[in-house]
Amino acid sequence: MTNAAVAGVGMHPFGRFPEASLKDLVRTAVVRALDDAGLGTKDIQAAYSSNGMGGLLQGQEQIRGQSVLREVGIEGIPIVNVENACAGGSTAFREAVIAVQAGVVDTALAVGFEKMFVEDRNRTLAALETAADLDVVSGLGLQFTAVYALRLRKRLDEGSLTVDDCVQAAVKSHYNGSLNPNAQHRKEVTPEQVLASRPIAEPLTLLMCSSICDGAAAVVITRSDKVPTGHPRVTVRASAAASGTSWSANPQPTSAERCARSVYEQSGLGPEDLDVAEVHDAMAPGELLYYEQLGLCEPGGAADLLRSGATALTGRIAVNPSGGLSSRGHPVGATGLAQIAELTWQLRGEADGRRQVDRPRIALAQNSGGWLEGESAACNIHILERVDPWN
Amino acid sequence: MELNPALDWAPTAERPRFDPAGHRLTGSRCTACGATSWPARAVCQQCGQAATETAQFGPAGTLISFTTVWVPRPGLEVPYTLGQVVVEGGPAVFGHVRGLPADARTPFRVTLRIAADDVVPPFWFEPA
Repeated sequence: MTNAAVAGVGMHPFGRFPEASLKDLVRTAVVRALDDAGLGTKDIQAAYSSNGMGGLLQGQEQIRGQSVLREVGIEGIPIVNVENACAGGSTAFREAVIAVQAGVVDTALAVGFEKMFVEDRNRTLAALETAADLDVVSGLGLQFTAVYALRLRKRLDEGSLTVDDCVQAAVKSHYNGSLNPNAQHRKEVTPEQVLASRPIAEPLTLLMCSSICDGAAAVVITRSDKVPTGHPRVTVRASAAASGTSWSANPQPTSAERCARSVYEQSGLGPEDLDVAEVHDAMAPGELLYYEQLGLCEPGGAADLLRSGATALTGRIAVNPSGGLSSRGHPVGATGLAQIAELTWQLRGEADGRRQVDRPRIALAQNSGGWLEGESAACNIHILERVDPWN
Repeated sequence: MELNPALDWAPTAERPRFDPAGHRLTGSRCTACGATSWPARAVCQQCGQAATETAQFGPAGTLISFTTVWVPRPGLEVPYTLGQVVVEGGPAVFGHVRGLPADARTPFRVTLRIAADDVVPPFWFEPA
């Protein structure tokens, strides 16, 4: 199997951009990624395009990838349209990695984009609801804030997490986001502000939650022996994907737990080897649940891990240095690729805004999406490695 | 493995989902391994056999998690409470919970109610 490497990454900042179309968002992300890689559009041999809601929100139900990529002159090559709810970006990344690893192409592009701000917010909320089985959720008012709240409630009732832990996770997320020029939410918040912000789905308050967001991210993947020079080399050390399973009376490992086990097996690495991670915290306290599912701590140990400072920017394993979904922003189809962009910058030592962690070598990205009555519908986990030594 | 029985299931739109008289959910149970599902499925998710048959769940249930939602949606006044309930004899399902005491903690005994008319939501849970 050929090794795959991340040759270039780029983002359109996340936030509210009423003047920008899907094509505009993609233009910025793709041009920046190609520029970062030192490659041109004609070097791309295949593209994997991720978008969640452009059909319902913009009416472009089909060939979304082909329609947006023509803006930057990418056409003629195979373009695969990927949709996996909030995990679409990492799904596109994984497919591009597999194409390179298999030797089908030398250079592939993964691009994710989303435009969630439309004139009527109810259209966006209704579109988000389609990340669950409509036979089950229609008319119930399912919101992903409620999904996270339901997951947290069990832990609060058990006593293994407190509301204060949820607040502290949000404070950490906003702090990191405040340092990220690409983030949607770039203001530090105090615990008092988090608690006093309006209730969304108890125990979650507004400042614990990601919000409606526009944005795009792109990643150029090449054979690791064909990475253009100019940056420290970042390779894809492991890739795993899973879908969710139904509720069972005998608790089953979650898709994130199954993916984590797989990437650790593939790489021969363990959670203790990770230096930095981007995890799927659509609501900031979700980060705590993933500490445990990724093995960063023992089951029940998430609150202690957060309080220890180990997951802060200066900690042993910095988690969500970008601010995560809840502060960097969560334009659904772009999120998984924004995680790869952040980790690539971190591994190269190029993260700006004082959020660079200290000489990381191994990074993990976890991106989950959709909902099957408790479990995420899709999950992808990748491990990236900086091959070149730090000076 | 014999999968052809899956072809004999009624179209999903024609399968009953509720037993209004008994205030139960109508789903499926696998005759081979016992796994349950709501709504009904043609093939078992646990053992992979097309050995599922129609089954009734509830009306008793155990609330295992809940949240009070404050973001309005068309047709839904806030606040409303969403919960996850393990329905007796069946799987965990997701639905509205009405009349939950302010100090309720999980696990909490609830009972299923099926709406008499064609309304949204078509079912909900109440304290037992």
